[in-house]
Amino acid sequence: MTFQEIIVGVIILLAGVYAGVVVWKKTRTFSPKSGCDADCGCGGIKDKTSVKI
Amino acid sequence: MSPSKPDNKVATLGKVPVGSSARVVSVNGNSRITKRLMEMGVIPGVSLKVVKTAPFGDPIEVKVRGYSLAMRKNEADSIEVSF
Amino acid sequence: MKPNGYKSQLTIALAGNPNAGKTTLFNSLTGLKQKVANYPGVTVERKHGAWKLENGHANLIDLPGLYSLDATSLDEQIARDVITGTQAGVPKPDAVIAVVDATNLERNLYLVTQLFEFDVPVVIALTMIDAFEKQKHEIDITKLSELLKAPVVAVNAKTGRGKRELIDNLSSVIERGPVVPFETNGHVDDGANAKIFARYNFISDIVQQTVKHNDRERHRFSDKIDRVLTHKFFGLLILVSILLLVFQAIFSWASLPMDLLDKGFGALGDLVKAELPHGVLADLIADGVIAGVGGVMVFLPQILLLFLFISILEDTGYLARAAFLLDKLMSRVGLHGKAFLPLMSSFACAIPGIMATRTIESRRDRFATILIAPLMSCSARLPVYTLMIAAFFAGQTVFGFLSLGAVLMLAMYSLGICVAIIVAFILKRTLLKAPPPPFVMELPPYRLPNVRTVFQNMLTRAWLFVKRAGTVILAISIILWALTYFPRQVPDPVAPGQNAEQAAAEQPSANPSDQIQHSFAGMLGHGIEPVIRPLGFDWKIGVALIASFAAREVLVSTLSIIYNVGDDDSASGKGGDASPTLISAIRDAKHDDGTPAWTPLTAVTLMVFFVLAMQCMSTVAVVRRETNSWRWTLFMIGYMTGLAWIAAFVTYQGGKLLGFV
Repeated sequence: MTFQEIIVGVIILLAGVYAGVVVWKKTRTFSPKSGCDADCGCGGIKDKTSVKI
Repeated sequence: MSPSKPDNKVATLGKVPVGSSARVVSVNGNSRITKRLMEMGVIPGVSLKVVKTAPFGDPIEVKVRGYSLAMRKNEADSIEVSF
Repeated sequence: MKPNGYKSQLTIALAGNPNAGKTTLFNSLTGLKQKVANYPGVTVERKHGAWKLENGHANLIDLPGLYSLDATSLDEQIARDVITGTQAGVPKPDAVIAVVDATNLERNLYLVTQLFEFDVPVVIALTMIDAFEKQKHEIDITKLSELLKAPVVAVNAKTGRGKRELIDNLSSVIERGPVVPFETNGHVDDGANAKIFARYNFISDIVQQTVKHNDRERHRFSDKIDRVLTHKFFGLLILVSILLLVFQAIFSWASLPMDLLDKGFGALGDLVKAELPHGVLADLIADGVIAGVGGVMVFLPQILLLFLFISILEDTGYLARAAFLLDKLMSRVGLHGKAFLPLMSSFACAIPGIMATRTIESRRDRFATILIAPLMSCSARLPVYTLMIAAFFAGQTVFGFLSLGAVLMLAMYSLGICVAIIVAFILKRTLLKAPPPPFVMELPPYRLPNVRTVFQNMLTRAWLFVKRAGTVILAISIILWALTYFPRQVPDPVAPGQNAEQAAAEQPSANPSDQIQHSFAGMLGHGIEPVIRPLGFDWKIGVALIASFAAREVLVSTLSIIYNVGDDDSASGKGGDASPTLISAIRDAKHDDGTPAWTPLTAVTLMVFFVLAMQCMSTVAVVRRETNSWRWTLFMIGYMTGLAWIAAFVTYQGGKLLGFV
């Protein structure tokens, strides 16, 4: 295999592993430190008006 | 003893016509929502004004202690007022 | 304690009603030095930052907005724990700054009377003084301070007024120690309610002595605006119009920057192909990475605008009015009032919306909300809608002035909402029956949006978008590219009269469409083609649909890659200079038999599919986590995909019947 092909192969492998890890992490119960999602951040629109009962 | 005014009715908040003011007589019920309403200032003796209703008649907007509060007619039913 | 009252690190808590100006004050005291996370195990936001004082910094904790400290809701429990020093990881505050809205004095002071019972020094920061004075009311701050036995400082976060005084007063109350101005313990008869009455009696008394209200000005400007915006009949119409305008703006203002970005990435890809030696690596970078990630990044201007408008609407207080207008509709389908905000949040991204449903106590109500949250068109769908609209509906108008694109966008968003309402209705009547929940909401006065807050919000979300493009979407693009690139097809056999070198020079790789057809991706696409044919989709779209299960924006990446692979000769026939844009590629794409692969009807069908389909592995993962059940998660995937297919089918076949092509 040429050098290029090796590099590309590694990149693809890394991409696959990364995607897998991301999915796996999300199905676990989230870390106690933060309830924030890596993808979409923490809060959405702040609920400033409905009165919490 | 002064005669009571002819329009001195007692009813639940939901029945007060839009634009009228009323005075709270009692807040009935023991749920968390009634407690919350009281903590927000809706207690016997306070005056409120029914500002408007949303499309379809529910919820209603009420002015109390200088701020605007919205609640469903369901919640308003636990508040007895005189107007 | 040192003589001048400063310990090595002071901890100060900020407490106050929602909408009292607490966050604005917090921001102005800490600048950008703040951290946001969650308290362990809950969705209550934990916010703290460093407040620069003369001798170092104080640790400033922004407590959640509260109406009361009586510990019925989770927010209140956490706040109590923080103030009493029993919250893990948070030191007991040396003092509390109670943020009190001058225009809403009585209710705001309720919390203050509770704070006094917590054995912690209190300083009151009086906000909204400018609005208060504009309405020509008067307040005797000195007397107020006397009666409350706590310093009252008028603050204006924008001008910095009161900052100095706050610091001075803090050190003096910390030295002096907590003082309770009145007792509620004396009353025995009615228990908890009597305490509430006693507090308000105390407050009314004080307010009478210190405030002179100008009754004529009670009719605030806010009320006048509200007469129109929440009008019984016109309110909803106005809401729809505002949304239309927002979409219109997003669409038209973003088009120039998007064009530029598009050409930019195209040029970058060409550059890479030209400069790097021919081969697999160059192809990966140009056709995989740049096409895939660039394809999505093009939409950054749109995302910026979307969040700009969301932030503005949020900050002005209009969203509360929207909740007020829509509540009847929501409660008719059994949706919880507290569901409004998680659902609204889902327009940005369903994930925080779903996590926000933790505030809903009833499990059934909560699940119902979670199950419909993904139907609120999230920001990831925006690139898809835009691409379809730009390719087939650009420049057309409705009624002469509304852009057709904006109308279609609104239609798609509305479709999601309508379906969500129907699904919620069905769910609450069948699987998730529960009694209707209560709903009480404050309608805060309209405020001019705070520029700094709006921009901060907008930039935070935009950065998240870029990060996502550079990580998850990058990874998926690479994988996708690999799926279209392998297995390598054999180039056409050497033509008679050419030798091997000439042939290789002319056609270094196989015919592009051959390549994709027989690649792994192609096999996948052909595999599901029978299922999507009735929807008017061909196998290439099929590949894109499969890929976008990972993340919706990936549809754009995938199409970019598919229409780009091995494309040394430009398909637009311009002699192969610039790579075709994705839009022209879509317009020109043809089936094997020569008929167009994409028509306006196909575009609309695809949009409809995207409105309803469950296509986000992140969301699936979060739903699994939040519901703790694979059953409900699979149910959600199932019902949404089924609905998506049916709706797309109806759209496409119905459209054909009606004569649309």
